[in-house]
Amino acid sequence: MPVTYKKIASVTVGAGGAASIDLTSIPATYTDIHCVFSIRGSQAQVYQQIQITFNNSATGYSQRNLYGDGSGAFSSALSGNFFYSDGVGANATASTFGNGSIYVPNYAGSTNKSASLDAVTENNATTAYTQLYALLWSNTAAITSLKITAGSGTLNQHSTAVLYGISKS
Amino acid sequence: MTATYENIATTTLGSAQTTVSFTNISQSFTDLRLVINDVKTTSSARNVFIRVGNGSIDSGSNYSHTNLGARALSATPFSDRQSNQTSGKLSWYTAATTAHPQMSVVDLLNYSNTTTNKTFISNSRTAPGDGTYSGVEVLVILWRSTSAINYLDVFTDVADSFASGSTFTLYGIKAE
Repeated sequence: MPVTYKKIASVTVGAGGAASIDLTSIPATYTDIHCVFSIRGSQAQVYQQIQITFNNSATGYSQRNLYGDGSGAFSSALSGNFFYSDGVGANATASTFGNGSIYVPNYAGSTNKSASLDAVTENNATTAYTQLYALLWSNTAAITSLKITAGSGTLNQHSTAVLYGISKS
Repeated sequence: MTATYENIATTTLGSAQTTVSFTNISQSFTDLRLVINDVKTTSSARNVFIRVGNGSIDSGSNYSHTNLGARALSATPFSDRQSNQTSGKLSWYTAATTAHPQMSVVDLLNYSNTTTNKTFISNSRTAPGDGTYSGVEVLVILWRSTSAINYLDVFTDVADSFASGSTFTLYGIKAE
């Protein structure tokens, strides 16, 4: 039975938190990569921004999203120095983390990288977010690293990210 | 090398059934994925619900959920939410019907940890053809418990059942 879905790396934030989760030295041997993350940030807010970058690059990110907040559905676009989604901060329901999944096809190819990001938060309160994103990183370099930060603030203990490599054979 | 995507159990209904249960779920995986396929109900359009637990099913008011989707009834996408529910909804506005099957892929992330509350993501589709419920829906479900999950129930509204042929498969995903 060939293994087509293999863990490349995983990180769990320890006591005291961390400024970022860095998944580095991604080999170019897979067809696609898939990162699943569970994040809680330290900002004194119910929701806070989660930022994702490739190869420590600060340029070339654009995204279009569709999201619901429990009262309506909305769409918006953004371009800038990183991809972002809404995660949970320190004022969210205790022990509750935001979750997300980013899938990057042909991550090692020589074309610009399109990707999908799905992210959710829940707070057992009046507002929570279900978010679907179309992503484009306008860079032809192979992706060799992926960084997740909490924007302002740090990532709390028990935040995790797992990176999988998917081979088509 | 080890396979990382393993079929834990599959149930295909040979007759109508109100609840499909998975018990004594192994704790050896990183995440669980529940795939619900070709689900129809026996009398009316119905929501599909989930309850989980450790050693038994938790039917307390510990579930909340938020949806995002679009369905045949309106051109306008929707989002809604409920807190302090006794179960989580895997589909809501895009209900399963007697004639138009629904499929859902439900990820139960980090299900065996004993530190954090558990989040599920349900990606649900009801087949085209129904003028109200056909559509696309994504839901986030929160179970406010730090207990590991080893029991799981899927069911539809009271007084209705899943029709024969509905299929429920539970996979384990191992990060190794």
